[in-house]
Amino acid sequence: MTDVLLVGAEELENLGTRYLAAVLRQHGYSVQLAAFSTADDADAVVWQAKVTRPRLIGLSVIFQYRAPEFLALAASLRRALPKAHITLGGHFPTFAASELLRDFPVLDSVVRGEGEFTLLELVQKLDAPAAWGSILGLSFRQISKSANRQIANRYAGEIVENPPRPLVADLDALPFPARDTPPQHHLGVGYSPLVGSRGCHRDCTFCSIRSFYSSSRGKVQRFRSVPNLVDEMADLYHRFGVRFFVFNDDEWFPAGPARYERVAELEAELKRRRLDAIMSIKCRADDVEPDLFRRLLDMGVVRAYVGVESGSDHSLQTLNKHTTVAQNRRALEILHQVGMLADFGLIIFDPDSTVEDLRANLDFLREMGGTGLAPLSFGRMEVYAGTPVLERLQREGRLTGNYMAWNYTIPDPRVEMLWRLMIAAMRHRQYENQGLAKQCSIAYYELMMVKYLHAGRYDPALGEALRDLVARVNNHSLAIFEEMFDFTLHEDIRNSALVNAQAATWASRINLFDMEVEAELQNWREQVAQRLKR
Amino acid sequence: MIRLDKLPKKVQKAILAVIFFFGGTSASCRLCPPIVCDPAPPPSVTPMICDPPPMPSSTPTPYVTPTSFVAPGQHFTGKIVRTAPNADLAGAAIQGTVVDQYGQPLGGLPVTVTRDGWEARAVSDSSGAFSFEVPEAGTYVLAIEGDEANALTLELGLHDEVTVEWVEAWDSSQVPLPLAEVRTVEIVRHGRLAFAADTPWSGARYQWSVSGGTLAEEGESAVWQPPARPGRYLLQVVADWGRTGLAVDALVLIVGRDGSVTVG
Repeated sequence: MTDVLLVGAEELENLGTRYLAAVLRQHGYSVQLAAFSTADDADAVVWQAKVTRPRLIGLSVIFQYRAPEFLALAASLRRALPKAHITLGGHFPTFAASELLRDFPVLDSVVRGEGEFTLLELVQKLDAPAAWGSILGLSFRQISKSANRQIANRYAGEIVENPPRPLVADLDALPFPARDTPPQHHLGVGYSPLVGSRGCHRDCTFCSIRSFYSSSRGKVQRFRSVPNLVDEMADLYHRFGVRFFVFNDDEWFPAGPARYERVAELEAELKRRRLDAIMSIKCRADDVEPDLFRRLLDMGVVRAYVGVESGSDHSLQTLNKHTTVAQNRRALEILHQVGMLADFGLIIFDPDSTVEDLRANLDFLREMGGTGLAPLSFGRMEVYAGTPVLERLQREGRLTGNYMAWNYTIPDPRVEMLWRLMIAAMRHRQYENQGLAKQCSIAYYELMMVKYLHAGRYDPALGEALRDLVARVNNHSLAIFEEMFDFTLHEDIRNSALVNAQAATWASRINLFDMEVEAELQNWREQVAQRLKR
Repeated sequence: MIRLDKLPKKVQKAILAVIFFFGGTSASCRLCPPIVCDPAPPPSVTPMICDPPPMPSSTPTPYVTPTSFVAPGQHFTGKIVRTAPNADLAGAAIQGTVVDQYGQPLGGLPVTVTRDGWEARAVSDSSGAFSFEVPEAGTYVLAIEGDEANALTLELGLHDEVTVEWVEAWDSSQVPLPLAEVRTVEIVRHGRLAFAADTPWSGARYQWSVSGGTLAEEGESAVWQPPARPGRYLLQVVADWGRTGLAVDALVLIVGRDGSVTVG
């Protein structure tokens, strides 16, 4: 029997559950981790729960769209272990705690905000429900002593929402995430996610990070000290052979000139420890400066995902990005000049998108993606719990659906139609793991691994071939997109027969194209693998 | 005596379904309707005349849950397309289709037919079709639920089979955009060469295609006959729900030199 089973997605190592596990173990509790990356993993999780018989099961919901799968899993776990305490945590549960407890009697509680010490206190007081009212950050269903714990009776319990728990002031005080199994390896390279900070100093309308942290007392953006961060990197490097560190910080840099100081400190510490590794980071466009990013590349930062979000100044304003298209363009151009892989994504559809915004976004995509320096990534803004845009659209009465999944319609029907056509025809290529866009993105990671970690076997022709392939995919997407754009401007977009026939035609062209290019990509990968075998 | 129209609607439906199946309100055998089993059949009729006749084409549509409802600003203009006698009918029958203004079928809509407290309900299928058998001649009111203002009044004689067509119209300011919902479909392999389209949404029309070889398709299923030439071939299915949505999935099928077929 174990004390706690923590369940979460594991495409990459789940840092959320690993931080929780580390804190619980530090206090003497036994913890197991379970992978729930897709709904197909449910049986394995239930089996693991039956074998380990935890007293508490924690489900970590990172992405709101997966909440129904987690709730279905909670129901299966409840059937398997009727007496276990089932709690939910993460961004979405934090903002929808009361609704979830109201609607899903299989849940006993929700851990809101940063979960480490709320969960610890819950485990410590698990057998004393009368004391739960003092656990900051916890929402729970009060069940009277006389009520039996049958699911049907759980609806009757009053939902109690305790005050929020203050943020963890000193991130160095947290133990390193519990890494029970060796990190993943690819092409002979170990790679691990990690974070050097929590929170973001900005307040974009589509993002819940700021509200997630600002609902608790404390500084919204906090950083680990550089020695503490590099201690963890060194541990992973020496113990597991990790040589690719994938930073998943909400925003890697502190605001303003402080970013120079942090980079200088990190550079010195990495040099002192002699860690020969590469890194990937996420940042804002206004973080990017030539001198800073040259220095970062020299330190081993080979990829930056830049939160560009839009090629339209109007959209950047409505998204509250506090950046301009000129800054976005400059940031990507600097990265290209420096020689760092510059990934970026655009929210080309949002509740306020106009035809002019779309034109600007398409032009930006062609300018920045047409040469194949990175696979294109674009989509629609989804309205997530805790975001400023949710509040605004609710006020304006523009939402359909419910708290589990909100939806909206773009006022200009031509723009709305373009979004619908795009998702119908490009879904597989752009949004599925096996789709060509994702596969191109993985290939670029592979290129980075070979180029920087197997430099002796790197051939620049590999880079050229991949760039050419990605350019063809990007330009094919853009050509189809242009046709769709033209269609929405000039054809009868209310004619369902015409619209459906066109969508099917575009989807067919994309599928045929992708079949050919996927074979080429496969050949490219085999060449890379062959080189590494020599 | 228990009056049918005083019973709950669900019970009425169940009783009527039994009545339809076993041959109407008379005690006669449905398999040998009186008109066919006339004691003096014309000489040309085969001696096997009283063997079970083929099932009538207008069997009652099994009731399914509507997936679509009349929206604000949406209405339907109905007309009688044809009335023809059908001697196989115990009473009379109504069949019809619902299409949008471009002739695309509208599936999932609830259709009702009523007469003096008697009511039957059906839902248009993926080709927009619906059908009813009614127990006897009379005046019936046919309507799409939610658009009763545009109901059709039908005078049905015994053995009449009437065909109607509903065409959707919209108040000009409220015509909806197509592809209203984001839907998905997935090709599932059911055997070496057999495939099926899998989707949680009912009522789709499926269109299969393949870039090589031949395809025998029937609705959501397809069987592929690969070409002799080795290579990569694309199998694709389009699931079309009309204005509600459209989804596409594809599989790459690889034919090896030895004739083996693998999914890429």
